Amino acid sequence: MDSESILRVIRGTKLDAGLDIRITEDHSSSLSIERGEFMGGQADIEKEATIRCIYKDKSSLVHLSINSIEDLNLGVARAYKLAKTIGSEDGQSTFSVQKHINKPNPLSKRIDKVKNSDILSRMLSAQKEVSKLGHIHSVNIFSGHSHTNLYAANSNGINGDWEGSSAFLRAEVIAKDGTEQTTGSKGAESLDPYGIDFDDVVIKASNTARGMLGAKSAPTFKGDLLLSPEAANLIFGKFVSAMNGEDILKKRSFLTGRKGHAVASKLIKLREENWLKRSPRNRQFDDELIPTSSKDLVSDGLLRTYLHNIYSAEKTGERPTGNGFFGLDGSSIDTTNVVLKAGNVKTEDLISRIKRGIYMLETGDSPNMATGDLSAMVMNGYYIKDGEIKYPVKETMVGVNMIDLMKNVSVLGSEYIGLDGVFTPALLVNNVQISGK
Amino acid sequence: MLNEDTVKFFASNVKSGFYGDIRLNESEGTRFVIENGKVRRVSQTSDSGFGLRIMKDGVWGFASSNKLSKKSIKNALASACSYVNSRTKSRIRFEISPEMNTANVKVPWQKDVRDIELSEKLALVKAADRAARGKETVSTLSAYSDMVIHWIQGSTLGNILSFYESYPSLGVSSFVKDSAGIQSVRKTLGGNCGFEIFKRGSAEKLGETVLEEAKNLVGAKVVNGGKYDVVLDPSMTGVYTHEAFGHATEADGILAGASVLEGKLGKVVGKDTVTIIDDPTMPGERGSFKFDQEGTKAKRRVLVENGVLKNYLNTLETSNRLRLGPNGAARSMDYSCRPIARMSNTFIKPGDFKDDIYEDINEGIAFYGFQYGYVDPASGKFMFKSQYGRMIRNGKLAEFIRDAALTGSTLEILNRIDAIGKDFSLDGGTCGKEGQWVPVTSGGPSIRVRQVVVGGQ
Repeated sequence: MDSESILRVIRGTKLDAGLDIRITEDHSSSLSIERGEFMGGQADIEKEATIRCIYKDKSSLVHLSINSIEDLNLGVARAYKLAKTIGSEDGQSTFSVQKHINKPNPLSKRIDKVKNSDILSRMLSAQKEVSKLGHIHSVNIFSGHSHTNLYAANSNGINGDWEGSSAFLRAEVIAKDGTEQTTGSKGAESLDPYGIDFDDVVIKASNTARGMLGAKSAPTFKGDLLLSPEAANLIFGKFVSAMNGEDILKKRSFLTGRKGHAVASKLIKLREENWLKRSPRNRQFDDELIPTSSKDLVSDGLLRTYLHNIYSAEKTGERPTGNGFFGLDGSSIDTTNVVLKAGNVKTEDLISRIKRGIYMLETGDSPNMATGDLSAMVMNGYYIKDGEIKYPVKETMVGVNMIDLMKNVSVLGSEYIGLDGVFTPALLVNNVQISGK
Repeated sequence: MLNEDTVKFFASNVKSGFYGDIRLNESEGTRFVIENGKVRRVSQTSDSGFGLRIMKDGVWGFASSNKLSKKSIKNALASACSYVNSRTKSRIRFEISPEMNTANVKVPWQKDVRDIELSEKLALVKAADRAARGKETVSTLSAYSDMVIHWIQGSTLGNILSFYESYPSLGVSSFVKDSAGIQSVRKTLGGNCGFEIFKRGSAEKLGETVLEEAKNLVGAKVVNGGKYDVVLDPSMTGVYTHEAFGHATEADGILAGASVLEGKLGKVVGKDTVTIIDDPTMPGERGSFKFDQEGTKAKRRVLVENGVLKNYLNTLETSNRLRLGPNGAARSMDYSCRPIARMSNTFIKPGDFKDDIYEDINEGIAFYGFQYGYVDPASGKFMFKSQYGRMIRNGKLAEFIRDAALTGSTLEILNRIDAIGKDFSLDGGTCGKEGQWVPVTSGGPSIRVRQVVVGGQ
């Protein structure tokens, strides 16, 4: 199957309605080891279609697993009936009319050469190295890789084909001292498993786990917050989510009304790059067949754009930005690759600049997207005083508004990570509320 | 192909000396999203496929496909075999002995959601959305969804089960605005049941409750961070019970060395007033089921009794490795996922306290409604955010607060619970673990916990 065959299906229906069809075919494989033992593997094949229909300004979506053109035709009939009988009253009025370039991710072909036995050997070897270290209680490693084909077309005659791959490695290392247990988790992703340094991931996870032994609650104070690349990754990911055009439209984002205004320190240069070397997130067109683009999100401290799919662009009177990616409820808004430009200060030098503060290695929190207020647990981190790490912390929270956090970034580090398509360095933020004992 | 013959075909193709099981399912669902009274999204989903697994010498091979045919089952078996036949062998050995249950459970609910007209479902969610709007609200967001799943599962040992699950759900959010920005309250109603869960007036009542609670957030302030005595409402108690404690009882985490409860079976883990239960047999609840995904009959599990850890949540593998009896906790999201140890309906047993639960708190915080949270079961660290809170001053509930979050360690908090309320309710939700999302409920009574770190500004 390809996008041309979808076009033929659409033309063959002769329906008095607009149609937009996207088919994905995923082949994925994963392996796991638990405490040094191979526990097994998993192989999955999944082919599914998302069919959208617009009938007289009313829209519907049908999502189904498919194995044949007949399945697709049945799905189209169902989407048409749904739009005609109930249809959304507040959907988009049209599908993409914009031409784009079809270009597969160039390194994805390597994924076909991946041997599970090679991956397993690398996982076991990485595990063996850290198991010798003191206080290591268990090492659990999970790896996976997948190959995806995407075909899409709509009734405006626009079609596109994309092929890509991705691989990830996740290590969870647990350290133990008496009754105290700590966890260090580390992840990495690339186009294929050969682009991931397994040893580095597992060693860093074990360093975090061992480093957290003896944690105690930090004092309550206002001070500096040093974000590791991972912590910055999560927080900048949420910041970019707040640029969602539909949330802006519905006034549910703390960035509503701030386009063109100062939202960050002048040090912040945040861009979307639709094509980065070895990134699994490279795409020329979004899930709505709108061309993606590289663009400034924040520069000179100013918010440069909102992110739109066709719906939010129509409703706000702006142009789609190529950020229409499907979520659970149909067309949502997402990005290809987001890059925060790094600085040149090493992490140890960043620590030496802190009079009193917290070095947050990991958190899992989200801000209140409407107000930007962030109340985040320091999942793993250290208390810093007079430029030195004093002790690991637990039962410690950070409270700050996202705009204040962005504006108070004073130094960008050189240590860097890319996860979930967001590439961030370590960074130092001043004047943050820390709550502890 | 969605029938018992497919199970038999699979079993006949598994090599001698291997254990194997297969799960086939077919699902169908509808979803409406209403925003400010207007239909924003209308969607339907349907899916079918199979997931099979085989095991020999302690190594599993799992494969799935949404192409349900004899050829794809044979191909999947070959893929699964490639893992089991790997040169790398596991030193862990265990046996899989499923209960030899054979049953064909018919649709158990009164009103099958598939027989309900789309217009009736739409009218229900519109009624809830309308009731959630008042002069204080800037917007509302409501959703109706349902999903019916037909499962057929069996193993090489001859057990075969066929049963249905049905998950209707109605959720309503009301958004209010003040000078600090927009705040919202959300509530849901649902279960593993039929459309009969939506009794006359229940949608309107849900919307009205959401509106009433959202109004309280106008002018609410952010709390000052620090340590406080806190009272958790049943929703937040449920989140603690499920997230912070329940996940740590899942036996796959115990075996992986990734739980604070490893080696603590039979030991005191909390105050003797605390009893925690996980019960998939409760009728109609979202986390309920008759059989787990390995064919084990569902049973009520007492996790903690009077402060003593009594049970882990086991799959067939973990129960064998830990030398404990299986207790029906193996669940998988759909055919494409392998069964892993999961919770069902998890709660703390009620106590005797009523309003006197606030009495000896000079300055504290009452937390209401779960927003989100996360936990690391290995270290026990957790963070939960409530939808809103209220200060407690001199033993009385005082002003409303927003964005209230608390953090702590699983076992420390369990030992700081010093009052358990008489009230009791369960909240439906969806629990994520290893990329698999399954329906659950959690809840209990209100509980008082001493000296908890609360985040703020």
